[in-house]
Amino acid sequence: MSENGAENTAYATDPDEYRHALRRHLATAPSLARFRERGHKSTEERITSDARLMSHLAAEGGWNLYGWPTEIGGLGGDERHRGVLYDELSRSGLPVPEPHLLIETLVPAVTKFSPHLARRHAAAFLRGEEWWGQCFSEPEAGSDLAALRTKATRQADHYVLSGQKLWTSHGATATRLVCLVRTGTTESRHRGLSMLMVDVDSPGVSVRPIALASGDNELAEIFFDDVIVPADQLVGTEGQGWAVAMFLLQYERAMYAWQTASVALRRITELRRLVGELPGPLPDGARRRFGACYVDIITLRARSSQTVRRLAAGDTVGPEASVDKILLASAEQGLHDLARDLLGSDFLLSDSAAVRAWRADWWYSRSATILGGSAEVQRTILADHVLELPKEMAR
Amino acid sequence: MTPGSSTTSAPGLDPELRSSLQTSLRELFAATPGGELTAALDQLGWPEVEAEDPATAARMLFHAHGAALASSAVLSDSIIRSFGPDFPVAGQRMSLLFPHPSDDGARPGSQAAPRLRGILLDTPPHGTLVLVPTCRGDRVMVHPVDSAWVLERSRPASGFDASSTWLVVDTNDPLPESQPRPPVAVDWVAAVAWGRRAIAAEILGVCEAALRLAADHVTSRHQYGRAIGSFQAVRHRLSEAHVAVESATSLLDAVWGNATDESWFDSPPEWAAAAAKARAGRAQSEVMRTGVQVLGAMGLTLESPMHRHVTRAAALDQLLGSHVRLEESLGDSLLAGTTAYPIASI
Repeated sequence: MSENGAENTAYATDPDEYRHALRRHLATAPSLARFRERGHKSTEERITSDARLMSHLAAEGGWNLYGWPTEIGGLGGDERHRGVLYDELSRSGLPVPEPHLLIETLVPAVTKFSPHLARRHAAAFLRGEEWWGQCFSEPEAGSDLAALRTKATRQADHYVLSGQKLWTSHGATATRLVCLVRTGTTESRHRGLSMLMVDVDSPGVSVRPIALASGDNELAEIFFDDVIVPADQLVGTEGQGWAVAMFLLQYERAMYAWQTASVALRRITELRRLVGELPGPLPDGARRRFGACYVDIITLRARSSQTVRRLAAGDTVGPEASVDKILLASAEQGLHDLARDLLGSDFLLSDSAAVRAWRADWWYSRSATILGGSAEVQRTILADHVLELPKEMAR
Repeated sequence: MTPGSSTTSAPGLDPELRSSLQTSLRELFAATPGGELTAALDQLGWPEVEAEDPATAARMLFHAHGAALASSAVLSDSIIRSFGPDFPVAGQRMSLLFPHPSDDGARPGSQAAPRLRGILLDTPPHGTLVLVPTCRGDRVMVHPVDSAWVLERSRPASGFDASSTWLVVDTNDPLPESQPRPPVAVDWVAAVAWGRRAIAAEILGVCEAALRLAADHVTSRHQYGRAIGSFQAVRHRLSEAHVAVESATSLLDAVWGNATDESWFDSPPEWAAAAAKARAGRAQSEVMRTGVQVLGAMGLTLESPMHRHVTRAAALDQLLGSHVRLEESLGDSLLAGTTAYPIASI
């Protein structure tokens, strides 16, 4: 796939070399132009186009395969390479492909806890040939994840899976689902959980897309009706589900924060251009808010780049990652509220593709304080484990 | 919440040495009156520490200065040292007149009226010189003026921050015709950037001390039969204050790193310094609002030390540009087309 093996080794060991080469490639490859078109697409169109971008990058030099071990189809390197990829894509006006949200969440955990599954499936995910969804939440288990009830019963060499999952990102189009399921009793709370990889085309899986208020099918509800899942599709061992989930959350919090920061810096520049085209003066306080929003974005960059470097150094990122998550949400929502206010009536009325994208993104930005542990849960984690304040009363 | 706990490793001073220096600084600030700090720091060997790793040294020094609520001319000394060794002559005690917070700090003395005003961080000793910055076009000169002349035109700046040693200088008199030394051109942009990074560190020192005070209070104070820190409303406010401090600290780390690392190509240091000071200034407003609230009525009294953190942080926020003004000027520049510099990178 690559014309020059020696150069690849240098990129894998030196993120700066990789950055410069990648930046040059993104700035000069004419074939990337078609991925830069702006404007609103449906969720299905967007993820398909993003996956095509991933395949393209993989085929033309393997640029998006750095940061992942060779055993799973990567070209070597660590979290820093992935961080550089997201940043350079944003810098050159390209999207951070949607599947990377769940690549970051799922692939490190699957690689660590079930290398055989990563060897079997991760390469296709990295190359945009397929993408996965994450099934954690349920109708009766949102923030309180340990209350989940979707049940997997072991029978000989397989599990029989029954239950219902909710709020699955990319669930409508994903081909594989990584599900947190109960293998113990309900009373066992987080101890009786296991992580299972389920093929969506297995008999008994049905998917119902859920439209956000923007009209886009960002999420889905998944039903499992006595689905047979081979036992070797366990991620980790039976009963290890909570440990896998906690490991995975480090990546979800840290890498997603960095993706958000990278994209936000591009978007505030685009907002500036859009606002510059509006007639009439800016509303009161706009100049200060614009500056404050920019400061929030670079603050998120500063914080989250530290966390990414810690992950790359092999550190465990603990409860302090909730700081990253809270910052991410305030930067993301601050940016979209700013866009809404500065665009004024255009935000409601304009038909332009750019404004339609801001409108849809505004709704999506509301999820920043909900998905992956709500803002309230994050504040409680900090109060308990970082500030060590007196515990709340038992329920 | 250990001061500097979230800083990334910096070259020069190893973590063990840094931690022992932090302890020394804490003890020194606890035991030394403001006027004697410069001498005490010299005795501690601080100039050598600073020569070894100026960024880490400054970050630690001003953080500790803030946490101890010290008031002194240490920042003035530090900026004057940043003008270069033996500036303008060796062995001469000098103080810097900081721009008045209502004026444009980047262009001192450029206001329309022939009016000289600014802030002195401490009363300059008799017979020393005060450096008064003025600008002509983009060039900033500092005029060495006899301290007695400046003192006659100053008054205490203790209106809000009663424990401060600051003085306000405000006069319509022109600078004295004959000055002890000729004015000297300085790199004012770099000096202001240095000052803003230092003040941001100091603000965060004050904030961490205030947050610790607040956390201790809500842990020991009981109402309705339980510690008030067990109420979610209180816990969440303190978590947010913690996020404000931690995030401003991360930004400041990146900004110090980018000011000293020659290989950093992406963001101008003075732009980065303005952003770091803006974020620290905003953090103090968030932390102090929460700090006062969770202490209940005690937070409003002279009996709790909280008020000293509130007033000191407010004063530091004003020095070399408040967060309100800095956010506005960054926003102006961005809207006018300045690049949204990334500041921090992987």
